[in-house]
Amino acid sequence: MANYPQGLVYHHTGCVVKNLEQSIAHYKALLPEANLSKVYTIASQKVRLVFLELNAGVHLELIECMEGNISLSKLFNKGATFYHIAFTTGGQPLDEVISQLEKSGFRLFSKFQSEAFDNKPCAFLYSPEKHMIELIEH
Amino acid sequence: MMNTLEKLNEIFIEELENPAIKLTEATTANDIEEWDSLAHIQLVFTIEKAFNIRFTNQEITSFKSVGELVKSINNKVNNG
Repeated sequence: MANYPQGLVYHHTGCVVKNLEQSIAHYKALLPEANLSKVYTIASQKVRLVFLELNAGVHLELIECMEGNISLSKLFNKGATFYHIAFTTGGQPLDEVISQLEKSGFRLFSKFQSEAFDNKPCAFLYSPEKHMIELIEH
Repeated sequence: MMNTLEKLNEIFIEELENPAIKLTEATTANDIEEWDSLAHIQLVFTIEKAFNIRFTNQEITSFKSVGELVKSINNKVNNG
């Protein structure tokens, strides 16, 4: 059995939406108690996004593609609206967690720093099931 | 019989949904608008399946051109 990293903490599920403001209105009507973050514009990833905190530390991320985001728009147009699940690293260095996950069959394809997380190091990987996983060093 | 570059060209056209793509060994991600990091990993999965090979994680993030991709594919196919 591979040595999986321990201590990852669930943070959010990222869902792609067509219109961010419309979706915010829908979810606020459905979940009026949820805390809404500010809207982040992440130019490097060509997305606009917002977090709805459903319970303490449990978020839904709504993501709208900006112009030129061809890959994500294609996924959305194919009906893939549930996009990724995200975990914080539980205080562990991101590279250590990535290294352990790679030994367990995960495949890294992007490392970046996100304005939505105070420019903390982040990464996208695919799990062996081809589920997209985001890691946030925190 | 198609060579590796021709087969890759077909894969790129299908995956990136762009029939105008004409790969050369010098082609890089900067030359193809649709070839971003998300598209790259989808391409990798399709290429692995088509050639019955598996890239290392280091290879996935280090290919700098189609030529490097072709060379890696040919090495893996020829050396099993």
